[in-house]
Amino acid sequence: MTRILIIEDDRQLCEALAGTIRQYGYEPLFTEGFDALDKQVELLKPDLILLDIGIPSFDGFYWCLKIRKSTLCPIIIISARDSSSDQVLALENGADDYVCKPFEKEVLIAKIRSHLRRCGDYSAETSGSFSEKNGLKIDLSRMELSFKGDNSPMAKSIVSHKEAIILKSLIDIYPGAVPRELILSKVWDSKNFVDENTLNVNIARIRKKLEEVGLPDSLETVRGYGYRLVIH
Amino acid sequence: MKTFFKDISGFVALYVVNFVALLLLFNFLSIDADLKIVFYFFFLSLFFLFVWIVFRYIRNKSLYSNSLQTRRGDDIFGKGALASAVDEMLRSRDEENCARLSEAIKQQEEYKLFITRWVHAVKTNISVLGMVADEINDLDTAGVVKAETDKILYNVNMALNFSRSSSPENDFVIRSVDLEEIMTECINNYKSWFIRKNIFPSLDVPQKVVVKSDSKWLGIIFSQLLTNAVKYSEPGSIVKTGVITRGDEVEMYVSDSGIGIPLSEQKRVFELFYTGNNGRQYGESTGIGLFVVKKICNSLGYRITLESEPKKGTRVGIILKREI
Repeated sequence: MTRILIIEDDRQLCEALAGTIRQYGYEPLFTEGFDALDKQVELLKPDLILLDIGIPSFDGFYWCLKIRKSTLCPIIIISARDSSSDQVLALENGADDYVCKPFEKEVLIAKIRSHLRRCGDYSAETSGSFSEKNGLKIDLSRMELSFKGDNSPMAKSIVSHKEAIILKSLIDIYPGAVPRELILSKVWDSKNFVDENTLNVNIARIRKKLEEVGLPDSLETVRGYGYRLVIH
Repeated sequence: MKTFFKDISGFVALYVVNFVALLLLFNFLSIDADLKIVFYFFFLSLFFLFVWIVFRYIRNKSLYSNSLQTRRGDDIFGKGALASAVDEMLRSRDEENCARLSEAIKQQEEYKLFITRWVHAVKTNISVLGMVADEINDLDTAGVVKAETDKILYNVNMALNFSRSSSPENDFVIRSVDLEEIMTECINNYKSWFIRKNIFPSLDVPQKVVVKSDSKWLGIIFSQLLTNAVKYSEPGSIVKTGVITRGDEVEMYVSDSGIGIPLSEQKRVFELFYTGNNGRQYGESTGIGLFVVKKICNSLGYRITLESEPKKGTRVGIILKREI
């Protein structure tokens, strides 16, 4: 399992980070105190380090430089300081990336993944990338929606990335409903921002794909809330 | 020279009064003095007066000259008793003021540092809140917690921006900045707020525009305009943003179809702590955001345009020069 070392002096944040990291299939590690961090890193041999700047003893920049001397593992700095000079200083001291507090969980995970990928670790990419309930299955790695009812043959349909993401959250929460906001935030593209229309178009397409695999009228609108799947 | 005449006029007047009084006294007492002796007195006293005036002029020469303000150093006014006294007084007052000023500057710096440190500390707490909020199962409660967490972050950032904006030029890092990149990043930062308020952003940049500017401060300006637009818009509406190029000028705009600003208040919205009627109605306005925007724009040499009509919407534009 990929191990991520968290060097952060705020205990609550440590725990929240550890929770998130576990959720995405990584193992969180912690240091004992904040002395001789470079020695501790050498012993623990983590695959990636999340490092805070404002830690007791010496600051994060100092430790970053020290740690960098003995290991090549990716170091992501997490700090509340948002000035460009701090970011430059961090990168010049050997850090690979910089995340400003407060950060979006997804952003942090995306950065962790991208750095691990660069180190040749794809383990978390493939795990948990499909969901299945009542014979309806979405496979994110193949972008494929499939359904096999009790007395019907298996039917498949290729879906787009956005559709796959929406379908996964619908299947994950089944038989519950997914709030509209959550779907909007999933289809929000960082280049072309989402609007009502984008959402409606995606929902219409998903209904069509569900029909293709033999599940017509299975995506219900929950008024004032969102959408839910009904698989008969 | 004017100062000199004014200064000695008192002595001359006193001399004249004294002389007239002396003559009147002689007359009154009917002292039968020789006219020659009277003239002798007259000339002698006039001579002493003259000598005294010349002496005084020489001693206090620089005190009377007009170039007072430009001179610095010890004994600005010369060696005379009066000049020394003035020198002494000014010097002690100067020292006192300098001490007071440097104390005030020191306190201001400490205060700024305090704000920065404090904001950084709070941001750690906000990070924790934001991550924990995702784990709340009750979606309504989670929504409220997230919305309030966002508001705390917004207000905390406001404090930081305000304290930094008092001398933003100390903090400028001027580089080539791609406007679309910055605007996209800012809009994405407010993703969850947009979605929660059911307001949709649009970004219209017809061609790539690169300006020489400070990306952080430009981001702060744009974010402020963006949050204002979201704050005062109705759910379901669109906040339009974009860039328009005109010659060597570039306009970055944010346009909403929200509640608008009455004409009578439009001139004052950039004043510190001015909230206007909308602020009183919505109760979330602090009167700081646009003040900071104005301040940064002034330092960077940008112009601000504001068009607004109540109930129709507001359009704010920042006009930048491609090169500064």
